[in-house]
Formats: sequence, C-alpha cells, structure tokens
Amino acid sequence: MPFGYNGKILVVNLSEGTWTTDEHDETWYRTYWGGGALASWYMHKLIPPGCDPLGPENVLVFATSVLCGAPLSGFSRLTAAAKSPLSGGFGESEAGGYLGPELKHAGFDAVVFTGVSPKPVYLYINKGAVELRDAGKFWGMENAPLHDALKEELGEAKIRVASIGPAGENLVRYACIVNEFIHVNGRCGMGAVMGSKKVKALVCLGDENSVAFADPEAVKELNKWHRKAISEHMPNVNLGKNGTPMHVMTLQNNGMLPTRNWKEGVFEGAEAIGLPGYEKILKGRHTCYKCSVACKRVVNNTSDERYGGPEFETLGAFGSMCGVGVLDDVSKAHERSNALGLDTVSAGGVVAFAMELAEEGIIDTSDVKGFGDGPGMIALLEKIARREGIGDILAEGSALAAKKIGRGAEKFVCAVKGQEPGYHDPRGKTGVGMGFALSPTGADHIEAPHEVAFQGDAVNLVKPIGVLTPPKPLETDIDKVRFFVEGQKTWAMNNTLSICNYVVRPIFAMTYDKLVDTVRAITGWQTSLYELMLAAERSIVLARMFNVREGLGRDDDRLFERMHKPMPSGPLQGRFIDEQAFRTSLDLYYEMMNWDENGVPRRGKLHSLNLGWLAA
Amino acid sequence: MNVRVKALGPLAEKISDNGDAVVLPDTSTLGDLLGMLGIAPSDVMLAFVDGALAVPSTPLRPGCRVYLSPFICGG
Repeated sequence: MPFGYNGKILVVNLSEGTWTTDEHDETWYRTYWGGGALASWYMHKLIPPGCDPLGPENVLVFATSVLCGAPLSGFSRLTAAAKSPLSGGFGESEAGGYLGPELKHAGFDAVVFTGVSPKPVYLYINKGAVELRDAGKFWGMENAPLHDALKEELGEAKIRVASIGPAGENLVRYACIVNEFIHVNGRCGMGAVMGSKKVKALVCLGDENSVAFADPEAVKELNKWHRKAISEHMPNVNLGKNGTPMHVMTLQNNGMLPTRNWKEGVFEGAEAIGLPGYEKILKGRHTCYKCSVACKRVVNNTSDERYGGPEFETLGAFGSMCGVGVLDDVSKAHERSNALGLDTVSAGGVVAFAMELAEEGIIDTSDVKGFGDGPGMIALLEKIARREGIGDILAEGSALAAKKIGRGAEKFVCAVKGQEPGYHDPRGKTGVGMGFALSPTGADHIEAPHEVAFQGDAVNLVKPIGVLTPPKPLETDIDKVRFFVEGQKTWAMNNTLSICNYVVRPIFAMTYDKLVDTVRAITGWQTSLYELMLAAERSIVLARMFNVREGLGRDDDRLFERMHKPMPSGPLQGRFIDEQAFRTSLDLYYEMMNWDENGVPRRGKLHSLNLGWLAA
Repeated sequence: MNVRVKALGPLAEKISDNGDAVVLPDTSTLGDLLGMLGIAPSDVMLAFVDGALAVPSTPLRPGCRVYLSPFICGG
C-alpha cells in the first residue's frame, strides 16, 4: 500500500470521451515524485515532437505529488503542464489553493487530458467516480459565475474547481487556469491548451482521510512544529502581515521595479500601488489548504471580493509596467484578469508593450493610448480576452504580436522564449536574469531564489545546499553561477514535491532537515536532501530535454535587449548586464550541469538521473 | 552591553555607524534592538545573531554580532 499517494493517474481521452487509470510502481513514483517531473514523463511519452500546442496532439497534465494534500502549510501546489503555446516548448505552471489536495483526496495523483473533446465538457471526479459532463451551457462564462453554476448543477457546496474563462476558450496564448477565484496556474498559457481541448473545468470532491501516511503521528508533530516556526520566523510573519504587495517598495527603493515596459526601474506611483496605498484597500487575508502563512489578500475596491486583491507581480504588471499609479485601476485589471482567465504577468507585459507601441506611433492610438491610461488598460484586457480588434493580435503574446504588427515593433518586445517575465529587473540581481534566460518555460522570476537575500550572514541559509559564498547581486561571476545551479534545484525541488516556496528554506520556516523528516513521515521512504535534490535536477533535465526535441537551444537562452542597456535613472542608474559576460555565465552553467556546449544534457548526465530512456 | 550591528540595503541607513557597536541595556532582545534603531520588524526579512537565524524574542549577549537583511525578494 502506498503512503502519501494514491498510485493512480487518470488518463482522459477527450476525443473518445473515455478514460483509463495508469498505475505505476513505487520506483516510478520515487523517480518522478510529482509536479513538473511527473508531468514531463507523460509529455515526453504522449506528445509527438513538433505538434501544435493548441492542436489535438498536445497533452494537458494536472499533477500533484507524493506529498500534496498532506496536512501541512504549503503542501498544496497543483501543477498544470503541456507544450506551451507561448514558447513552443516546455510549459509548466504551479498554483496554490485547494484543487491540488482535493484532486488527491478524490483518488488520483494526476489527470492527463489527451485529444480534443468534440463539444465543451468538464471533468467531475467525485471520490474516485469519474464523469465527463456537458459544459455547453457554461461555455463563455467567467470564472466566478461558472463556479457558482457548477455548485448549483452538482448540488455540492464543497466541490473545488479549476476553470478557464473566455480567454482560455478564445485561445489567448497566455490564458490561465483559475482555481477558487484567486489561485492561478498563470504562466505558459495552460488555459489556452485547456480551451483548445474544450475542457471548461476540472471539478473535484474528495475525502480528506483517503490518503494514508507512513507515520501519521510524526506528520502531526511536524505540522505542529511547522506552524509554530511560521508564527515566529520573520519572513513568514511579515509575509502574513503584509502579503506580497510589500515587495513594491523594496524593489522601488533598490531601483529595480520594472517601469513602463522595462524602460526604468523607479516608478513615481510606487507608494500608491505599494503597501502605503494597499493598506487603505485591505479588507482581510486569505490562505491555501491548511496553510497558516495566509499571504493572500482580500480588498475592498473590487466588484466581487472573491477574486481577492492583486499580488506583487500583478501590481508590477498593471501598475509600474503600464505606468498606472491608480490602485483602483490596478485592482480592477486584476479582477477582470481572474474573471476572464488571463495571466496577469503576461497580460501586463503585453499591455505595456502595446502602450509603448502607441507612444512610438507604431499602432493606432484609438486602440490603446500610452503609459498611464488605466481605463484604457482595462478595456484592452477585455478586447484581448475576446480577441476583438487589436486584442486579437495582442492575444498572441508580445513576441508573436510584434511579428504580425511589424514596423519595428520587435524592438519593444521584452520576453524570453515568447514569455513575458515577472517584475524584477535583473540589472539589480543578475541571478534573476539567469532565471529569465535559462528557465525551460521562458522568462520566469521564480526559477531560483533571488540572490540578494543571501548576503552577509544570510549565506548560512544556503550552506546546506552547498553554497558557501554570498553571490554578489550585480556580478555575473563563478559564484553567481554556482549559486544559481543549486538555487534552481532547491526551487525545482519545491515544484516537484508540490510545496510552496513560502513555507520552506532557503528563506522560509521549514528547514531542510525538517523537510526530509516530513517526506519520510509521509512516504515511509528513508530519503535524504541529496535524493530530493537529485529529483529536482531530474525535473530540470526532463524539461530541458523536452525543449531540445522541440528545437529550442542555446540561442533561445538569452535576455531581451533592454537588459543590456544602461538603466536611465534611480539607484541602478548606468547599470546594465554585459551581454558577453552574461553569455559566458550561461555557458558555465551548462558546464556545471554537465550539459554540452549547445546546452544539451550529456548522455552520462541522463543515465546518472535514471533518464537513460531520453539518451539518443 | 555592546553589540555589533550590520545591515544591508535600506536598513543600513537606519544605523549611524553600520558595522560598529551599539550600546543596549543588558537582557535586551533582538526586538529591543530593532526598536532602539527605529526599524520595524516588518522591514526586516532576515536577522542573524552570531550567524544563527534569529527572531525578535532572541536574546542578545554582550559582544554578539547582529546582521539584518531587508525584504528584497518577490514572487
């Protein structure tokens, strides 16, 4: 009998309207664990190379892990993965909330959607019973009304729902999947893939006691320890008190708050959208399954408070990036994005890109005005989600839109592998730039912990993963690359285990020792941090190998042009990332990872990670 | 007692002689030190006393080394 997981993965053939259950042995689970690694296995096996990400051959995986749903803070992440319609390569996105644990408690460790349904459907998993139900009457609905309608149709108040809005239905390439209004698989256009398959929602209802743990008493004790640690550990205390909006002013004060399509790093409206302004709209806090951190916000300036308040990335996206210093406009843009099913990070980047094109006279200003136009920003989101007018082109993402627009628009694209980045300027922390360049999913701000945190004595936090020297934020040197290699693994470990970055080291409350104890208590496996880091590296290599077979390589590992230009003002005035030095650091990363000069993992590396089946 | 305090980034501006000794009453805690320096605990991401991770209730001892790091990440 497995501990911590069900041993069952649901594979749904949408074209046929049928499903089967995959059962894998313990070695398989101990190799792939969950999250992106588990999803990668299915993506490699089931997706033919070169297929259209929005065509029937793509596969959409919802994955939990061997730990997801255990009753501890932050053990709740849900991965959505597929070939990305933004990059044409590996797509993966994590969300917190409740759907991951509910799926697990409903009897499955993952759901794999293949094919395309001939009509709109939703999948309902009720304590092991599976049903594909007609969603024709729900097609076109926004996420909150859909949620209410599903509860009414099923007559179950306790269902958990992950769904797409009109943006996903209309194949907006950065459409997201929303669970419980505020928890979002945002990145990589997973909502568009779901829409292409005509799946409106994944609905789960489970039994919390359905998954057994190897040592339930130890799990209880570890939870008690973790909650106490969270209540005292300063990063967690402050995150609970202030939420991620507090990052606006810290980035502003350090000159790295991306402003007006990455042209600047200081925004005159930062206080209005940051904590000083946010405190005026704050109504309450919200949290994920069993989590005592409670970093989510409830605000008083939206129409439906269930959509929650904007988090830092959204404040950057619709605030500083678009030059909008009116928090009511930013909150409205956030609410509409969650309702329509748009990834706020990409959406903000695309709108900022359009605003700059308007200012440069490249697109018609009757469609979109320049920076600072809050109402115009909100109107543009509606057009994008419904693919109306200029919105139809912008729905392709900034990189593809620029190709369609022409007239020099490509110069203003700030994206990597087709994906717009999160809002941290790498000119102030070059390790974040490495994450933008090297993430298999396209620009990603949570590829590795940000090195600025580990200065001075704080390097002690990363010593357990072998980083003994503080990585200098502004350098692209050997120490930085070494830090990135290990940092990337520690966050890949979280993604593989379905754990939130906000509950575990290197910064947050759960120590690596306690994490290993927890994995042991849940699974009964006599594991170690070494094994968990190997699992993390395996997930990185699986994703890289998916990109290799899709034709992405060294040339795609890069930053956008603006990062190599001097910052015009603020604390980082004059700072830029030297292109050649940065390239050298990426090449050194390949070497440290035992990848070849083209960024392809070597045969020996594949075999050492039990991935020999990927060796040519 | 004397303790040595070093802070990073914006927090450094709150300390007149960053890295030098600060005089505190005996039996003071990290929270007492932050209060004396006019630093809100919510402005500190990480604090260390003699290299060990600390919380506001962590007691200080004569001659100890305090390191303060501001909130600077995101996500």
